[in-house]
Amino acid sequence: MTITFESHTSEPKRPTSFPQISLLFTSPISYFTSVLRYLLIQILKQGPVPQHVGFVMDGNRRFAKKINVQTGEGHYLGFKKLEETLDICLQLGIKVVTVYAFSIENFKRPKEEVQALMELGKAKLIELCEHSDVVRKFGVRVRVIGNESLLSSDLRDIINKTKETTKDNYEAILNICCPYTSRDEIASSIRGVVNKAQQGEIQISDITENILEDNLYTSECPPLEILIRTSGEIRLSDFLLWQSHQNCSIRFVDCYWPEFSIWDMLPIFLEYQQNRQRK
Amino acid sequence: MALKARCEHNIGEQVEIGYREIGKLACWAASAGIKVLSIYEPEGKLKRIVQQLQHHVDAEARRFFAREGNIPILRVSVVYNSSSMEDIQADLQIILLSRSDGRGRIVEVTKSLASETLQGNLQSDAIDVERIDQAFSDSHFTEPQQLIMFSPEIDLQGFPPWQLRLTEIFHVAGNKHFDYSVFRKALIKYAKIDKRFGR
Repeated sequence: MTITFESHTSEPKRPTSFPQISLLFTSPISYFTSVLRYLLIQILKQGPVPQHVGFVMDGNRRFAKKINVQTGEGHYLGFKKLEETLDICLQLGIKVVTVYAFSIENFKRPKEEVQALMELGKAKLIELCEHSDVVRKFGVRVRVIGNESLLSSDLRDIINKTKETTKDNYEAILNICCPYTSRDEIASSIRGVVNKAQQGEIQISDITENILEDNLYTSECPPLEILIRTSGEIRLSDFLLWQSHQNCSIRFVDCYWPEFSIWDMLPIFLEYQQNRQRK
Repeated sequence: MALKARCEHNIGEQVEIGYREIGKLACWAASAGIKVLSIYEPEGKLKRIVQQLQHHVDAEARRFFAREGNIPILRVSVVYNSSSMEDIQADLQIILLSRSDGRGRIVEVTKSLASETLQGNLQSDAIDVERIDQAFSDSHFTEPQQLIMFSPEIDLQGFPPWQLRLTEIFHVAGNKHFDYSVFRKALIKYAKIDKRFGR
């Protein structure tokens, strides 16, 4: 896909460019796929679009097994899919995308795999903030949320650098949850609120749902409206429990994350639009 | 497999919640060997009629298990009441849940942890997942293994979030009715999932 840079003088930009005609001669099939995708996005954009969507990117390892490649390759394809999905979401006008990249429970996996995942994470974070067309084109603020204390210091440095480089981007947010569990997030919110009570900033009687919510990692984000999990598993696996347990549509999709495509998203967004119009 | 299962039943708004449905559900669950059945209704309407529900559940059980030698004891209660010996002996615990058992309960836990901290009995650093989970453990309502939705979409309507961590969420797309076939499919799906984990 070719990217054209637009001048920043025009009004807020969600650039979606029609695929360049030159692609037709080099790769006709991908040209027509791109055209179709472009048209689908244009159609969906006419209706209401959710503000905040979450993804559990499940099935990278099983996909690798299925196509007979190394586990690492599966994770790599998963990251590629993340960028592609992010691109589609942002073209649609979604403001916040939150993804489950690494669970605190995943530290229990074989050491080599965790190590490889962390290395891949580092490389991809650097790529996201330095070379990613999607991040640049849409002005995406990249945040890594979760229990930072469990990460190595060099990864923490890269996370801080990512935050710093993209902090002036205000058009959209990508939340990468790593290492994360929802219970750990709620615990950290409770701890934060208790600390405030201890320091006399608030009274115990002032403690409400809203105060707890303001202390979650997602406090700056609009409410989560759709949560999508791939690979056919039907659990939340400790992801965004607080954010998804009300006013949110949860969708379990029966394909591995690297196979996830706009065709899987289409019915979900169409149903969202139908529901919204009914209300 | 289902013997150890705790089954959750979530009644969507589309379903008219009646004594009869709850009575039936309790009997299905008991005959499947389920130990704890939690029923979620956001507004808390069910929690106000515990006595009547108990009465209907007993009546339904006498009908349902008429041909069996002994009729199982099905005990209806709300979440946070002190347990008695009677509860422990029940074959099936039926717990009635509402919205306030979700975020509201987390607020209550936060308040009690805050007051413990202010009294100097607890360091705020010691407030972690385990400590919070402990604060929830004073009820029969622990993490359900499965949640059955009788609604066409998955909208959890405020179901207690802390306990949803690993719950298998079962729903049949398009289903709008309270139906035994949904319950049966859910149990079959649950049994299959567990088998795969064993591999």
